[in-house]
Amino acid sequence: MTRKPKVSLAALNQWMEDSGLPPFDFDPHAECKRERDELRAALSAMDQAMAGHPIYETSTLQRQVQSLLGQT
Amino acid sequence: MTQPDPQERGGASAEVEDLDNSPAYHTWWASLPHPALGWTRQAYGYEAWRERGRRDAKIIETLQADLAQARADTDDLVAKAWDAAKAGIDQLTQECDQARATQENLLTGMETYLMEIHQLRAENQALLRVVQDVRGFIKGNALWVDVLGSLRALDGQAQPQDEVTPSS
Repeated sequence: MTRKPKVSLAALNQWMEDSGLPPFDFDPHAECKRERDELRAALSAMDQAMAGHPIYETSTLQRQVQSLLGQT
Repeated sequence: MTQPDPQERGGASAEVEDLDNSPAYHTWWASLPHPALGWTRQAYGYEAWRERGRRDAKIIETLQADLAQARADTDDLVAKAWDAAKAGIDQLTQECDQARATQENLLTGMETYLMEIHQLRAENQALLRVVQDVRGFIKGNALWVDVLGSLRALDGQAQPQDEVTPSS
């Protein structure tokens, strides 16, 4: 079981500054999260829009989408 | 070697021996006043030597006391210096331990941070692939009109999903 301390960009940037390194001017972690949320929202909207459509309902794509969205 | 017979000695030796053995001489010597005795002692430097001996003894005594004090002071200084050095080393050790713990926590945090970014990117790529699959599915099955209509119905108005166009 690996330890999982709270991720803190502020602490990371402080360490970078203390080490004489330039701090991050953006938070790549937050950016990735934002991008993921947007992709999930878009996929979820598509899934809902196609819900009930016979072609989609019988496709493996729907199962794949819903599996990915955690709606299995 | 036998002693010569006093009767065979010269006159002066006989007189000295007679004086040493003379009770009258000893009586006279004992009756001498102290100043005369003091003069005799001074004449032989007795008092001066005795006084110098006293002074030397006092100086030696003072030096010994100084030496003992110096030893005690040195021991005290060494003990204080040792205590101060030990306290400093203890404090430095403690600060080093804290700094090491902080660095380890930070390193672990950074590893987690980077690992989560890596996982998020993998997840995003998977999502993007499926989004593209869905778009291909919609395009391949000519479902754009249905999907767009459903999206508008879901949102009540056009949302960012409008970006999904057949041309892309």
